[in-house]
Amino acid sequence: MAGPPGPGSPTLARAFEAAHEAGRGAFVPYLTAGFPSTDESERLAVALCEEGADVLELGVPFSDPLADGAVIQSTTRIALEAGATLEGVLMLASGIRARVATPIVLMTYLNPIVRFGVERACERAAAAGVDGVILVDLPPEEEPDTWAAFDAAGIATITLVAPTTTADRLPAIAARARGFLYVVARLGVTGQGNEDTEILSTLERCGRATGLPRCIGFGITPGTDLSPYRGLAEGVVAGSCLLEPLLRSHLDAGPSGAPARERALRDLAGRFRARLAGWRSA
Amino acid sequence: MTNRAPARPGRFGSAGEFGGIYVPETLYGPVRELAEAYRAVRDDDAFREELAGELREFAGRPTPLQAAPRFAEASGIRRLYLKREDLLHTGAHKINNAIGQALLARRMGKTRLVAETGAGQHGVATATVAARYGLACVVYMGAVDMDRQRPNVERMRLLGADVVGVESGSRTLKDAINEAMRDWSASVRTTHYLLGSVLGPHPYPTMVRDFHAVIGAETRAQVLEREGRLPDAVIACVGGGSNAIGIFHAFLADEGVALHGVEAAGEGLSTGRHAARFADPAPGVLHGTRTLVLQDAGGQVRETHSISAGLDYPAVGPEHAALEASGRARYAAATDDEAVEAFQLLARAEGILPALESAHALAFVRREGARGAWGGDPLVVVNLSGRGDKDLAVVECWRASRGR
Repeated sequence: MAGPPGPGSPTLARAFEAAHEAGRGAFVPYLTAGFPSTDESERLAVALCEEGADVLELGVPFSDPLADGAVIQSTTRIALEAGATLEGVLMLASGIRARVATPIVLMTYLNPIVRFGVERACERAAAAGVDGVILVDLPPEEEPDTWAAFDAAGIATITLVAPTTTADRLPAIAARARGFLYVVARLGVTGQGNEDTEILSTLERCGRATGLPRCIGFGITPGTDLSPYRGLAEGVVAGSCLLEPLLRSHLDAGPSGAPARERALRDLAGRFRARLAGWRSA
Repeated sequence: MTNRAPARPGRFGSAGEFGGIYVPETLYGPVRELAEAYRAVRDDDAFREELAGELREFAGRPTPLQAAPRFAEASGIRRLYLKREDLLHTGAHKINNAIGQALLARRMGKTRLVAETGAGQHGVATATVAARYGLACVVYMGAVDMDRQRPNVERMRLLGADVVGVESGSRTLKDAINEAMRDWSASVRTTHYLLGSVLGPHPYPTMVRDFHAVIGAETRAQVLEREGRLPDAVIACVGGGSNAIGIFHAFLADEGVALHGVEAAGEGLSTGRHAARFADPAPGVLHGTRTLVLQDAGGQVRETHSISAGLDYPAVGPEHAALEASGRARYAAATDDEAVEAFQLLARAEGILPALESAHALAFVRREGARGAWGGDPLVVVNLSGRGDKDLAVVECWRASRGR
């Protein structure tokens, strides 16, 4: 079933190859774009890239983030109150791209894209240097034209596999995936929930369905024991656990806490990197 | 009639431009499993008999179609009938769907129900069926709505449901749906999400419509028996649109019957404080379906306002969006003030306290009747979808603020 890496994925493929060659699991951090402000968001994103993020995920704030847990709901609300828009996120991506080469993936609900116009969003994202997109609430079965528009713009569409994904749908999800496959480790929303007992067999099935790298996410922290995933996943997504201390600091200290937040984020990134080092060499 | 031949299951509109399944991957499997389970029971005689029996014995169907001559006269028409869904057990049409979905959930082996509620009527209906069928029940309700519909919160708790206040976003119905879907994402293996309107991903808009279609089927037979002809107009309020689709459905093929949905104009369309999706239509994706969504230029969902919690919602059921696009149904809006005035008129003229939601439909009758909208001697039917006991505090507050 392993398909060719689809259009739009060379930068992502190179990022995962580089991690592999270094014997590391890829580190894929997520930040809510525009949190706590556009300027600070750019500084935080660049800091993560400097600390060795292999791929950077930027969440596009949406008023009704029903796949997200409490932390990302709060960072989203703060970003929206600070005036975040899809247009602003694209400018942010462009600003980050001007400073670092790390591939950028937008994680978004469909409505802001629909309102912006799918084709226009694809063109603008490509021009901003965006490498991929995760369409949280668009299953591969829906809207072939929307998926095709991202292909045409050379933007990789990363698809998700969940504990509830049935075996019969995996081929279609894998066929729609470009760049990497995002494997949800838990039932529930981002940042919380119990790890699914079938995650390891899910990862195995994903490996049979596609040659693309598998990244596990939802509820991973620097303390998570990652050893069971060795050989079954090529990378790890971390979001809520990075944003939680930033959120707390923002609520306590406001703008004056910015330097401390950047230090805290660099420190967390370093802890993840240490956990992922040597992950793929054994 | 394009809306009756959707491009594929779960799609509405001539090009299938409304409806669909727009959910995070975790929910796709459960939603599809639900669609398959529903398709299996839909034409199953044993299920249909069980449902019909419960609707008759527990819910109190059929409901009367009652003439309302004094309200009609005050509205400039002669013949007005009310479909008395307010007389159902738990006081609103919502019980039709709650019974149907709970019986289905039980067949699927689910032991727990989650639901959202706005006015609390759907929450009460869900808590009621959970008690009757021995299922655990959690109801999510916006904190704003808990304040303004306090009696229903107490009812749900007495029925054994866990009522969870939602403090995120606008703290109303839309946020309660977000929270119910989050709960379901984590609990799909044991839990059925008993969605309360013709919203959400397929199969909900179709399934919920089917469970409420009994309203229109009864109404059509009753009006033919009473008047020997079909009505000129059928009118219902539209939040998500379940009571409206329920009464409209039997009349879709009757081209001579005008179908009117009435949404909430809140404090007035020009104030921006309303829930009138059709007045400022923008296609979008919310809560699992493609439909009309009140949103800003950046695609963020707007906060809505209505005196009636059940109409205080920024999107509308996808089949309504399709009915509007095809022209088969028309949609108008009534303000908070118009709704409360209609509420008071129905109380005094007919001895019925309607839900503020249903009062929007009555307000439309008054406005259109006064300008002779349906010609000579029209025969008009309103779906009186719920009773108004839950709204006494809100109406009292409105009266106090207006000095009457």
